[in-house]
Amino acid sequence: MSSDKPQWPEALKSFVGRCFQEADDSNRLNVESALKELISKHYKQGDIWTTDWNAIGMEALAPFLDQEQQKVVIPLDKKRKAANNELGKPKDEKSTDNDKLDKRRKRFEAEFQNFQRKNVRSKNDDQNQLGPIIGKSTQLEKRYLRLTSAPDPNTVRPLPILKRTLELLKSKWKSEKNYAYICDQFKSMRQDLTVQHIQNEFTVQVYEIHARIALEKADVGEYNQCQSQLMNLYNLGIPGKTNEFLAYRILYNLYTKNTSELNTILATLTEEEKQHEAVQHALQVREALASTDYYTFFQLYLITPNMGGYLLDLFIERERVNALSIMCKAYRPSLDTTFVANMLAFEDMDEFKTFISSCNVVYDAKQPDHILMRDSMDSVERRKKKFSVVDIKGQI
Amino acid sequence: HHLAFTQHIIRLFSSGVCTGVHLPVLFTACKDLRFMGILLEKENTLKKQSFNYYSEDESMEQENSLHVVARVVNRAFTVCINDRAPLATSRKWGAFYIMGLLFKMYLRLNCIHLTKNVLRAMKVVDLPDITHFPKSHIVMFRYYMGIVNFLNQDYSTADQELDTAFHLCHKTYTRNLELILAFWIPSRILSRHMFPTQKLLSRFPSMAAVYVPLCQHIRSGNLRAFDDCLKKNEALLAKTRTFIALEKIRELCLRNLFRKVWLMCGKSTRIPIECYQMAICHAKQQEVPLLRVETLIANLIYRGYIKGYLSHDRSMSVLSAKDPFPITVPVRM
Repeated sequence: MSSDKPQWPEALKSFVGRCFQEADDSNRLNVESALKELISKHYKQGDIWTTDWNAIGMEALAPFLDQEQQKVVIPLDKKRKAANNELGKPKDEKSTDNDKLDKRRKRFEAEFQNFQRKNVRSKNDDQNQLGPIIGKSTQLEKRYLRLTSAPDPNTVRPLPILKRTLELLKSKWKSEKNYAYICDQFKSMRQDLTVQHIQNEFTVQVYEIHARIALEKADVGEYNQCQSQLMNLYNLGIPGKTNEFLAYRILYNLYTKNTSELNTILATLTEEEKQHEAVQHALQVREALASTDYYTFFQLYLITPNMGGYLLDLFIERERVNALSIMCKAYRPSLDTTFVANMLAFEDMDEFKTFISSCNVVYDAKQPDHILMRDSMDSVERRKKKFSVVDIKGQI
Repeated sequence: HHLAFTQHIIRLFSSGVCTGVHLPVLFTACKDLRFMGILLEKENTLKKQSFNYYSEDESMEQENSLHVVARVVNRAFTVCINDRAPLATSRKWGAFYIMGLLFKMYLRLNCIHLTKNVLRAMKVVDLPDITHFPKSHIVMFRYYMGIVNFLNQDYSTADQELDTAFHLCHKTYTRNLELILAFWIPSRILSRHMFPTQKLLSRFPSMAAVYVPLCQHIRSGNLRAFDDCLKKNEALLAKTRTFIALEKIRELCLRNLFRKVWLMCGKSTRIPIECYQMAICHAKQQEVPLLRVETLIANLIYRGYIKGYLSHDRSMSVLSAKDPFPITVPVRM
């Protein structure tokens, strides 16, 4: 769900307030649902801001009100009702009728901010009560569209179709390497799986493949989404490459320096998991970083299994600067650039040159391929300061 | 239902019907709510995964029942600290207790960063002097502050907080004291390089079992024994989240080992790296490449445990003539 709150015009808010003032306890729920429908309709039409809410009266709600059918209850409402019930008589006697209405209106205006979010949820409760959708679409490829209401079964692909889609996407990725397209397609596949409540090995497969592709393209946000979903699925007992992704989790937490998460992982690691090659590698990386044993760290970097290397790439520069700063403090008088490049696991000397120049090191006048360690210390320390904060999405 | 009940109580507080006198009611409500939250969470671990909330945006966090509880209690906290009533009946007296509950939940939920908001709010509000609050509240608060700092790797602050907590806590509450010690001992070792005394440890056998051998090995620079000890207690230490901190303590052990090398070389100022290599290979019972040994020494120099420098070309360590292994060192992470 988008984190920015939807903005609603003041007139709309007062309209809503008015509706509630008119409503009484018996049809308050109805009014609420009817309001949501009305507003959704206008939202889809795109004229929330252009409609003159002041002019619209309660009659606009009429087509949406349905006295017979029990509309679904919004969870928050239930709690409010329960609270009201437990309030008992004495509290009611204290406040006047106007007071009550005022409070109710104010409450709703505050909750209006959460309106969209709750709306989606209530529709989903509706959906859940009817059961998962069964898709009917036979179209293999589908663009991703964020859902704002219950999906149309005709646009949702059933499992057999999705399986064919996966094969198609796998080959397309190999041949075209068009990430924007692939990511889009995978997201729509994930969506189709979610609305149909399909949670099985195939779902796991889809998420695993998307995660790997996201890593290859250093798309940390997408990788993270897949990783969290995978954890949920694994916890349900669905088989998959759990160890491979456990290793990724460890490396990712090293990137974000999330020591508490690492502590938790260490605490819950099983003997079986520790035997796995990728997990062992990740644990060794963790240990090396914990003691800033940069030598071991860079050795491990060069032999990372699976897609782990891409995760390490995310923070390899930070570690290289750290290592360089330690070397500046410890070594005297100078070090050969080749030695430094090898220590820092640079396989490409051009890459090394770019890196080392960004650190503004000082070279020995008499031996140009030697870096003067003491003189370079300050600039390297300055360079280090740029790596202070890492946020969850992976942006510094 | 309990959730609604507690929310109602909070509303009573915020509307001024309940005042400081009624705080125990609030406390019990929140405390029970927390337990409910935990029970529910355990029950729901299977259920919650079955997509009860479907969202096309999968990054939306699934609402853990404990999260919900935490939010409610947070509201209680805001109510407490924002009270402007006279001190005698103020709701501010509830602040620390509620904070303790909140911290407990955040720890369990692994959202330590949320404690920052609580602490920030505390600083802004004018609370009465902490020493006037009931001791149990203060101990709880200091304990959790210690843990938060410890987990944020601010070991010196953690040391201070836990020191206070330990000394304030009544000596009969052994379990609580033990809990405090679990974090205090590593904090103190890391921030001041001070080990717990035999006298202290003898009162707490479970702590003694871990730390007596550990400290012994650190002092004697016995790297192999230290590593063994760490491995043996790995599960226990990981569970209490102190494992990663203890790895840092390993450097102290390493420093002592290298100091022995220096002593054995007759306190020479020029020691070939091979000497260190021999020591480490012996400790680890395996071949350790020279470059790795250099890296280990480089790290100790960087952190100030060794005063000197490395010459890679000559494969030599050049140590300061005076006090190359300084005793007191400001800890640099």
